Amino acid sequence: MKNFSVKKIIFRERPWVWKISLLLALLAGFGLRMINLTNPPLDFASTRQLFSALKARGMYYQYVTDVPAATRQLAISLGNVGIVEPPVLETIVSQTYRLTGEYIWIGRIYSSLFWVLGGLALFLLIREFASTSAAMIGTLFYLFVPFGVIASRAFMPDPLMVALIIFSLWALFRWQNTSKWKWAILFGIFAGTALFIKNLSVFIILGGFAGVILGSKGLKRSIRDPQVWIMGVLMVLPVGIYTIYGILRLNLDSQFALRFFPNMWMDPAFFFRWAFIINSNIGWTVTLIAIVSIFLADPRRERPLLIGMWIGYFIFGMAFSYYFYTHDYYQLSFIPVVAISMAPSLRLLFEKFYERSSGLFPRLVLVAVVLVGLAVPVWYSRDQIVNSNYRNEPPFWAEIGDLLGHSQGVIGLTEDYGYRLAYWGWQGSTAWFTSADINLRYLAGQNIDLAQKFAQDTAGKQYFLVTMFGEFDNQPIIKDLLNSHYHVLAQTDEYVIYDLQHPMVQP
Amino acid sequence: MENKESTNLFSKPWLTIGLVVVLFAGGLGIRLLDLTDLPNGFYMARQYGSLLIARGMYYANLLTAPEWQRVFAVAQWKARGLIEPPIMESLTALTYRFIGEQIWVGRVYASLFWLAGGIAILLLAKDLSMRGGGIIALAYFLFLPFGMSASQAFMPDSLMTALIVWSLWSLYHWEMHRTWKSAILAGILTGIAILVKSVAVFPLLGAAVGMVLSRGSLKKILVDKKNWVVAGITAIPTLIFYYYGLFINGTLQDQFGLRFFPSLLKDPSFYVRWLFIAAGIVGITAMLISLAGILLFRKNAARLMLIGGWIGYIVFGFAFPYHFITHEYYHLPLIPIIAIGLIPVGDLLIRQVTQQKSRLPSAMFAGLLLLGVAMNMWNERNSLVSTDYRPEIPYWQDLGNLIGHDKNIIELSGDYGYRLAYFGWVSGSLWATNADVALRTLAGQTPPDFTSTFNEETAGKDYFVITSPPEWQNQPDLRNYLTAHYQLIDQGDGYWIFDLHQKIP
Repeated sequence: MKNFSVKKIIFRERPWVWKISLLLALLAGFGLRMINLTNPPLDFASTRQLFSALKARGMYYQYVTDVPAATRQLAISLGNVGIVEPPVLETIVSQTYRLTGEYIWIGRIYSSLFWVLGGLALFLLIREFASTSAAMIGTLFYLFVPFGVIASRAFMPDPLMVALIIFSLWALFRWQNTSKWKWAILFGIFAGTALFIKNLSVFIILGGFAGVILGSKGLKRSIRDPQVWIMGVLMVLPVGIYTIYGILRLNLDSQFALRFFPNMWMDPAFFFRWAFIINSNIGWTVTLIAIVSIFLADPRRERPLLIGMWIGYFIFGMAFSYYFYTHDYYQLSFIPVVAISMAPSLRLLFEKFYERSSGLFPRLVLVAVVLVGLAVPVWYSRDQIVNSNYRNEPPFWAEIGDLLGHSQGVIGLTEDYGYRLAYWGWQGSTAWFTSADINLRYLAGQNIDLAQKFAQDTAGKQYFLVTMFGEFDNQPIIKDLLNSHYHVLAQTDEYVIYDLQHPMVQP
Repeated sequence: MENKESTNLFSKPWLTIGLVVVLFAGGLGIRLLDLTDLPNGFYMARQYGSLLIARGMYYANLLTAPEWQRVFAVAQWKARGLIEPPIMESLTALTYRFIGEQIWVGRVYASLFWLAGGIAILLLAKDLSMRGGGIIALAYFLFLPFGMSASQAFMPDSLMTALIVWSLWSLYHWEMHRTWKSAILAGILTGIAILVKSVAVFPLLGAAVGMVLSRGSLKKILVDKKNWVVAGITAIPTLIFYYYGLFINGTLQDQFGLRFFPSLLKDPSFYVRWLFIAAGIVGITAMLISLAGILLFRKNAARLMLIGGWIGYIVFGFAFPYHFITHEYYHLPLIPIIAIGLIPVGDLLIRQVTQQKSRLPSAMFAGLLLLGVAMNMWNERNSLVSTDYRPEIPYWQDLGNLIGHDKNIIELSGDYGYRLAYFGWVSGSLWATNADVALRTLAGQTPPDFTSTFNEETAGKDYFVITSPPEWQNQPDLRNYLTAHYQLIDQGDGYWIFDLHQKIP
């Protein structure tokens, strides 16, 4: 085995240095994510965050006894927003609410904490992969890439999923190198939990697993290896049970609709857009280095895992082609892939660096360079976090909720499919299609008669609420229908409510 | 043992050459896209200043032009004063003599110069035995978003940046060969770079000193005649120009006003802004890789040359702190420094890639590099075609006709009156903008009394013309005074004309 010629690594000579550096980096990563903690979670994937917030509140109110029964019932009913993944994070948060009271930002603390813990696993993995110095750089990238900072503080299952992906890859790599039962079982547990939390983690995890089996262990040997079977079973069992139960009992099969758009594979613009998404969220230079690194990796020990992860990511992108460029958080699991993949290049760079600059001064210069390089994305992320202020949103929606009377029978063209109205306005509503929803259905080959759809959706409804005026303008048919047939109940620059119960008398 | 032979990305040389050709062709193509649009997207005032100089030079000998236009154009040229030697402008004016006055000629030259800088990067990489790394550095140099915008601008900075690279190459070439021929070439190229724009002295002096110091003994350095010859050749053109500008032409001394703001150096936020602007321009990842790359050069000469370049750039920032945080193009000398720092890292990676038995890694690497290039080109293309400034031409022409080309005006303008002068053939003195006042305040000057300044500035003028709505909005004193005391004789989309001879009783 290649005993890395990197003898003169800052951290290796002085283990306490890397331990303290890692601790500081993890704390700084967590601290950065705690800035502007109480800002309403609308800065990133607001629909998804409010979905979780509603769900967590609904769960919490099942235990709350000191509120009017109607409020309790309303919270539970508004929290019934459907099933996407098992509500693990929402359960944790709702249980925390029981101790602290309901604070929407608690989900943010958990997500940040999970992401930062993922950093610890990433460090351990890259350290085994390459070197301590490479591990430190990879971990810093993971913790402070601005897109990751913003996305990983969101109240959604993805940060936990990514952390678990990293833990499972770490266990997988340890198992590959040791063949011990302990690591096989740990991989199974981590991977199984990751898939259970969010099944989209399957691509990277299964890709890495297949890579190790095929490229490092060998297929024949693996088939006869009971450890492999246990790993596979543990990985699949929780999500398998949940999916079967979900399809049978929770209408989970509806989640598979409007997900796959293989026709996009034929469009070169799709791949170009994909590259743009990577460029803007992760950075093309680091991605290029990460890909090149695959070829610099040890063919038996390192390359299989890397190739497996990349193929997994590629299949992920092909399978969810539409979501890959409309939902940038689908790129979150790519951050650790890049961080891990960069390791062979970083190892090489550090080897050459120590070979040519053995003195203490160049090392201090290098540390200074890294710190300066860190300062820029940290400050940039901090700016983004501080400059977004959504504190005016809760009273706005509360006002509309009061106007609508927290009643049944509201349909709306409002932000986040009505989730803002539901969360802060305590007002349920049916979401009218946005242009994106309509386009998505056209893309899937469906034909929509908007006037007919309007008639269906508004049947029995009391009010039509509009707060997205750009969207309203984009749908002239609906705008004309409402304006020519219904009275306006209330109107400001920010919203208009149409009274569907008392249509205008047509001449 | 490391292979010290130069690297090639592909085993077949024509493939590597083909890649380089594609990069240059793409670099030129993207810079010439939307060529005939007006140069309003990037430091407009600076570009129109060059356009007025070039037109004045051209009209000076254009006997077919109406006399008033000829006189006006030459007066506009002379009024610009000396900042740098008008090399780009002279070249452009000379070209006008063959093809007529075309607004895009300066842009073509600027683009070509920048591309020529790319050739020097390849030559330097070759001298460093790192040809593979040279391709990465070239791609970075040609397709960095800010570089693409800046290198299309009709201003001397593109030529200066290219000459910085040529100078760095010649300095290193001299170091490698130590011949009289290479020493003289280094002196000439460095001298021309500094002549084109004197601020090139900062990175180049730093780089030259760094490289010479890498030779060891100071005594040996001081007694080496070649060092003195290089220094002499470098200094002579600029000294002659400064002598001419300061003592013969006399307008160069104006350029030293409002340039130095040492008070900014005490403000920590200045350094944060500097870092952010620099990182935004060159890209933080590239900056980090390049800095790390310095430590990977095999020879001390290259290493110290680049460290010297960095020190020079930092000294440059200390000397011009205000401009460093307000004028992004002051950071252009950093681009070649970063590009050269990428060479060893790029070379190290390419060396590993090309050592693979399969051809796939090389092909994949080249493909991804080109995809990155294509993305930057696409972004640049979008920013170029998304704006069309051509409709401005009739606007300024009509305004010029409305005012009258013989009128003596004072103007409150957002572009120092350049567009009205260039398209409308009307010029006059300028009323200070808010930015001008802020700059003077920063320099410790006390804002003068409004009425006395107004009377002084408008004495003998026919019209007060406002062509900047934001300035008009943000100068209530002026707005109130003009509307209360003078007749507004015309008003349109974005302009107000007051007749200074018609006082409101």
